[in-house]
Amino acid sequence: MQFFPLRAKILILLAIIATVPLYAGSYSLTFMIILLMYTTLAESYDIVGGYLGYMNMGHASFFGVGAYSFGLLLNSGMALPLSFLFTALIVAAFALLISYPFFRLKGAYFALATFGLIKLLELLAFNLKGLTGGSEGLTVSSGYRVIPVYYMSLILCAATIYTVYRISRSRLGLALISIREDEEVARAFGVNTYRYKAIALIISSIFAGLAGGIFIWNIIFINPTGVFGLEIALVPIAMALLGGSGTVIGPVVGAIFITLVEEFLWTEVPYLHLAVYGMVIAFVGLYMRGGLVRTKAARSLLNRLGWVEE
Amino acid sequence: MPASVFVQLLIAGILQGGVYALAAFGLSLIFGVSNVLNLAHGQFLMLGALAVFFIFSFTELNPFLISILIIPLFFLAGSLFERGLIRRLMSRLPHEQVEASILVTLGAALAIQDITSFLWGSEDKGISYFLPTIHVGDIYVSSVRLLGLVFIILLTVALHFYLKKTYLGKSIRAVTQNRKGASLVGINASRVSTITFGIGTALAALAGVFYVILYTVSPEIGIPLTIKYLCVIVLGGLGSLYGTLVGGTILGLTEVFTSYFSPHWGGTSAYLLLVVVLLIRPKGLFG
Amino acid sequence: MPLLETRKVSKSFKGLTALHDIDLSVDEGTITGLIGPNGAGKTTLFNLISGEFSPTKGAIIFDDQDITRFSPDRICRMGISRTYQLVRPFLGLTVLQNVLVGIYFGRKERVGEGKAHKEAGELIDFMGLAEKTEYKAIHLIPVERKRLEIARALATSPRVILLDEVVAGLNPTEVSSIMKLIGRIRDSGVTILMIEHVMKVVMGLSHKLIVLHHGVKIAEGAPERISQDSAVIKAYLGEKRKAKADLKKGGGLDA
Repeated sequence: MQFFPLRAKILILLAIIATVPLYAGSYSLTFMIILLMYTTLAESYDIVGGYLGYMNMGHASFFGVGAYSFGLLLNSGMALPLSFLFTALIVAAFALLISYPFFRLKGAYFALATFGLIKLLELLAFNLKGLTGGSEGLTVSSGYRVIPVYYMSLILCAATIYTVYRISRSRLGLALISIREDEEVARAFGVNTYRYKAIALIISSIFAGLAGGIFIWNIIFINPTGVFGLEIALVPIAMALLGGSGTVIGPVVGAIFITLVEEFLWTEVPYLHLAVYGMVIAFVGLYMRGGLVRTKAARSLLNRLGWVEE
Repeated sequence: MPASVFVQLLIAGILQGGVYALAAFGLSLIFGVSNVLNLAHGQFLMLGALAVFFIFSFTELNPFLISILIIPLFFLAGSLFERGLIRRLMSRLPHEQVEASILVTLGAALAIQDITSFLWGSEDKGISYFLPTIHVGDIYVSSVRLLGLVFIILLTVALHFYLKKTYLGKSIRAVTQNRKGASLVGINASRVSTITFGIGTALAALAGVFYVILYTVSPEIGIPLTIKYLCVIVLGGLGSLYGTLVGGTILGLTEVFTSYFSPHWGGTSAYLLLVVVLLIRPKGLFG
Repeated sequence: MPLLETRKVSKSFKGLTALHDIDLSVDEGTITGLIGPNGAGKTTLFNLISGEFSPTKGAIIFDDQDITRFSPDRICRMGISRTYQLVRPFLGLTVLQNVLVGIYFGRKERVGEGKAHKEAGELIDFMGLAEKTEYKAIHLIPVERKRLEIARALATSPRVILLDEVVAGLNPTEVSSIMKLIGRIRDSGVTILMIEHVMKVVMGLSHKLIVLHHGVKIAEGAPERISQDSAVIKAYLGEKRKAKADLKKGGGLDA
């Protein structure tokens, strides 16, 4: 294992994942698409939640805004690539807009206010019937798209992880973690906190927004509760925390772990699988300080593979 | 709006707010002492409601009386919960503690919900408890609601005196303000944490009686309600019990009055209120 | 022209006046001591200069520019940095990362990665923390944390450094080494304004002393003169006898 540099191992892994459609059935592909989507959401959440240290419970709002924007753009006749581009721009603008007022809040205040934002967007989606179709939802042109969606999801997910990796080793990353450690002192030492917080939020939002775009393109139809609901809001955050918030692969590990656990429980355990699921989460919280990726076992495994983490 | 309707809405709103305040009070106490946002709080409310339902169907006793009788049970449950799950998180660094407590309490909440669902079934359960309606002129008021209001007021007053006058109450306030300082003057902060969790849980269970009388209860109500109570304590300002009271009341009134005009907006008015208040006062009303 | 000045600066917090009409001037290349009994408003003055909050009245002038309402990060980049009375290093970050924050963000000009790491290394060496470069700040002992605090402040290439009780809680050996360090910092051209209670340090190093009491400046001048000043003696005597003894020890009061 040590013979290959880390980069090679990752490329091999990517290549393997890229060839999955050749031999996997529809169910497996859908499973992978969902996994990739949640991984993207968990990883992008962690830019603000883990590195910046602001628990953005409203991360899913970017997902929902992205889904609706993409759907509307597509329906207006815009080509697919342009729709993605403009979705990213719309979501980024939205993130910029909310960053100044919301970043004045801290801790639990920030968490709940951003969560409230999701509910408000849900309400807005219900009421702007002319735009969003209200409770009847938004539909885009149908088609069997599993394969392209798979590759899009894979590329987006890889891009998200790579971006977080680059951030963690960059000046931007240093600014973010200094803000997390002590925002007032970071300011006193030259960090323009307003700017860096906004940048973190914008980057985080773009990945979530694009995931939303892919989502509606995949399942054709969305409604307010589907994209602004509790599950899409909370599960990615739980994944990031469980895997290890503030690390590059923590959220990825968390997403894989939770998705696998869910799949296992769904197929093997007929009753009480939500209960077992809850107990697993609680167990990790109790006995694995800092998440799965920070346990001794995980650290030594990662070291042997050549990955150095915090 | 005719006066009779206004008065009805007012009473309903204050009652609703009172229920919120009562349920959120426990959450606020727990947060003040242990610095933990107990995401399983709503589950204890749900269990309290179901317990009242269960006992009522066998004994036909006054539900409020039943809710008082089950207090010791839930006090114990809360204490055990703290001892078993929360205690070991106290020694961690602040942000590790926050992350871990989210995972632990959320996991516990999911487990409690599912196990309850499994044992009791997930249909809605409610008690029809009727008392004659009181009327003054044009205004008709449900005496159940009035009784509920009185119950909450008495509880609030009792709590107030408890916190102000008893040793334990003062210990709770001391630990909330400064944990280290409190232990330096001889207060066993760990024990206070455990006891406060017990009290907070019992208060949640007490609030449950209102849900089973006025509305219906099912195992799924726990998590959405917990989120609502989190909104209440954040609205009022974390760590301020008075803020929780005010926040809950304002929230209840807002919901009732907006629901009258538009049921759709009623549900979301809580979040709208929260976001607006926080944008003006970043630490809540009294934070 | 003094490098740093405050002109009639006052600060009130909800009716409580912490500082009143403070005129202060610090010349370039000097070490100025800011002393006074506890609660005199010294740290508040530091907070005003570094931009944590704004004065209720008055102005703060740095290098001929009015920086009164500038944000803390801007003030830092202009060349004023500080340490904290109760040290506040970035606990979860390593010594190296702590210093890098100052280098990357606290300076006026942008620094490339190679140069930044080189200078960080030099600074960490200078402060005697080389062995602990990769240690997280939370694992440092108090005196090391103080050194880190100073290193981080120096990392921003400041023209003025505000030292807030930098030898508090240190034993005599440690105090002496910090004193030498402060001398070396002054020698490198950095202007120093320091709050200090340990008289040996402040008497031994300062060109000038400014004395605050109850938010008001009660004396200003050379250390020898200040130690004889009756208002100063009264302020300290009124507080603690030990302070008077300190003044004596510092080579101040005549018996």
